[in-house]
Amino acid sequence: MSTLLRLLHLADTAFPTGAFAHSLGLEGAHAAGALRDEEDLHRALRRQLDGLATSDLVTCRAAHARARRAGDERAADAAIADLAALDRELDATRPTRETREAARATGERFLLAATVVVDDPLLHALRDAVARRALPGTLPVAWGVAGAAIGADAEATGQALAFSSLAALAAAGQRLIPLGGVATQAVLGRAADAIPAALERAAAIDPLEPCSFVPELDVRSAQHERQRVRLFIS
Amino acid sequence: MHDPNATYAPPYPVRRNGTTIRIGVGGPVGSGKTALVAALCRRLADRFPIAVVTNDIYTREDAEALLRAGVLPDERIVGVETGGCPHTAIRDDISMNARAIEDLEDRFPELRLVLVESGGDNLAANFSPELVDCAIYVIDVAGGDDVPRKGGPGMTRSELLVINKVDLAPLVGSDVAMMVRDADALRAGAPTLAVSVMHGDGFDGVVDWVSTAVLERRWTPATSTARPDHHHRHDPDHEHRHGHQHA
Repeated sequence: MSTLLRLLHLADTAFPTGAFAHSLGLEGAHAAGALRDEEDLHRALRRQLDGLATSDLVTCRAAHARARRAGDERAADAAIADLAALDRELDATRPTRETREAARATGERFLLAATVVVDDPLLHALRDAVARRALPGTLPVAWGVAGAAIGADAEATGQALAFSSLAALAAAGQRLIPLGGVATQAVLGRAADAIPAALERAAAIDPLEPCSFVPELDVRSAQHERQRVRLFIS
Repeated sequence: MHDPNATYAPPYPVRRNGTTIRIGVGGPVGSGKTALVAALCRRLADRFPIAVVTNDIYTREDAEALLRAGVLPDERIVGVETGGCPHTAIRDDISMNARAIEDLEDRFPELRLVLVESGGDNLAANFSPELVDCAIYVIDVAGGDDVPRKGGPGMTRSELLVINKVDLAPLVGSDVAMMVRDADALRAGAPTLAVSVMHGDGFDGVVDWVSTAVLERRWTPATSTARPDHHHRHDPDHEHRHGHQHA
């Protein structure tokens, strides 16, 4: 398969990561009356992307670079140790229990499926380390290593992660508001226009200093924990 | 019968502890899935350790009903939200349920049975073989006695079909015998039991089926690929006249 096909494969919304069950604060926003139409969803997606630019996309890029450097290293231990450091930093950028668990759960499941379709020693070593709970196993680290494994460059890998993250959130918004499928894709397309700029910002940030400040969604995520009526895990 | 040495081996390392049987419980809204799970726990919790994962659609109603029933220790009942997509969570992308089960198995290594109760769904919902070893599908007489005829993967690909609330059959004008006959015609030998979970009629059969699955790892696999024939009403009087037209 070509690199493009492999990227499309990993980024497909049908790729089983459980992302469909997460709203990452959108459901809380909806319950608070702050998610009513296309404009609200667009704003939420842009806010989320701003957060990704200083956290997930930074870590993904660094994990990609570390995996590239590992090459065919037989002993993946050194690479796993470096990836674990990135992973823990990113894990710490999640301010709420639900968003932290979402990054870990989707990362673990992404690895389980990705190692079946991509044969790469480091990706397998990462999956095993996460299964042993030796590191949190967040999605951006998994994506960085998988992107390097299929020969995608850092830019394309980051684009794929950013787009699939926004697409999952847009789908959650579609079910919550509710919106039509075409209207939802229009919102997603507009939000995704900002992905290249987000990646540019990410490239300038120290991967051991990722941060995230999206109070609009983080507060809703915290409220969501105690929300009685809920469709989504987060 | 099912060969215990031939359990489904998915092409990726699904984390299994080798001691737990995972049984799915699916079916339409209100057919009695939660009541069946509670009754099974009540009858079997003394025989082997059980845990339950529920997939409520919108609230934690089912998980809370089980907690209130007091049939299991609280920490062995876990509710998983499915983003409004109950069938996706048991069939297409089982990630969140698999993670919940693995977590239960890690916390309680002595578990022998994990029941995975799906959110109420349509007749096309069935369980991924990567999530459960076998599945019980629950329908009821009050939902219409034509439901078995309608078929669908819930009906054809479940290892046990339970037709619940048989005590209501006379009140709602449902023909239980016909429901069983229609189900048998679609299910390629997999069993169907007509029961009343609430009053206990026939429920021993369900208990026996689950015990055999857990203790002996034996069940009849659901291999049916039958699709319902909407022109054919499974009326014995008409069979000889219409049967040949739909070959």
